[in-house]
Amino acid sequence: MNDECLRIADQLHRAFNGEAWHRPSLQELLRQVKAQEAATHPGGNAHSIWEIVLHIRTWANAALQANRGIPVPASVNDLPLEQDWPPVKEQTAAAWDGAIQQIFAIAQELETVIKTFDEARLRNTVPGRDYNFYFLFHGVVQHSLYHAGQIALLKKMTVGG
Amino acid sequence: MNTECTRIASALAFAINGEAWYGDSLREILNGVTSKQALARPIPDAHSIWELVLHVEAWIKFFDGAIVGKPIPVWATMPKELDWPPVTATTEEAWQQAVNSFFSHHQKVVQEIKGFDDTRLEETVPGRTYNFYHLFGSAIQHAVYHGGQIALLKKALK
Repeated sequence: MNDECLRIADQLHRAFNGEAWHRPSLQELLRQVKAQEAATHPGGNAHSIWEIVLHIRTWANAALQANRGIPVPASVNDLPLEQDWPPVKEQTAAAWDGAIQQIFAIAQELETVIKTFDEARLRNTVPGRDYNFYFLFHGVVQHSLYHAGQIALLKKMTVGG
Repeated sequence: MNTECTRIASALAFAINGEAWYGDSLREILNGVTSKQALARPIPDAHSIWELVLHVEAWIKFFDGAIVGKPIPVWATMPKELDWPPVTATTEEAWQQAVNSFFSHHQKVVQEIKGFDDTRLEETVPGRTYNFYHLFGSAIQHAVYHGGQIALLKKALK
């Protein structure tokens, strides 16, 4: 039985791809954002949409690695800044499309992992941390939505939408 | 049985009040925000911090009602002031009250979820087509989504 895991996977799916009454998913938010818009910094010292997308990827990927036994960095401070917030290297349309495809591919992979996750393992401690997989998986959903809210605001500032 | 509900309740408590996995919890984000900052519109056409706090609170109240059987108002016909309650005060005192009320309503729902029976998680929410599990997840995610926006507004105010 892994009803609980299926439910968590559904929450992750809705955050990235799905419909939710209360806010747009990342898929809806990022559709039609152009590379140039993604690269701008309308919020002064705030991150750009592109930087946020790469940052979401870092942490979704950390959850995937934790499932394979690779420790999650003990603290954000232990992670080099360029891994926590990877820099945007080339601002081309192709690079932007690639970044988008990557986060959705990683989210899809994580969704599959959670769907088949053994429910008893949810209470196991995550390698490198003092919390369990339940907290980690929900954390990834929340982290993605926290930044999705910011992307929605940044869009308002750049494309007026 | 309410082991799953206990976990959901603590996930909500962490996101709102505690040390959240994703970054600063709402408590940390709102800590130190003044009424003047809460009223400001550093991003034109976007909501102020105060408006966001009232909006998230409006929805936690709907969820609270749904738990005890009160249908959530129909989205399409919902008056805007229910969804986005207008800010009617400007004082520091009123702002602190708004913040306290925001946290106490969330705390109330944390307690209610703790006492919710796991077997009811798949039950349909009054006034909606989805179930309580989804509702509880939404309570967390809705707050976190706007929490990210409040953090960004704070940055824009600097």
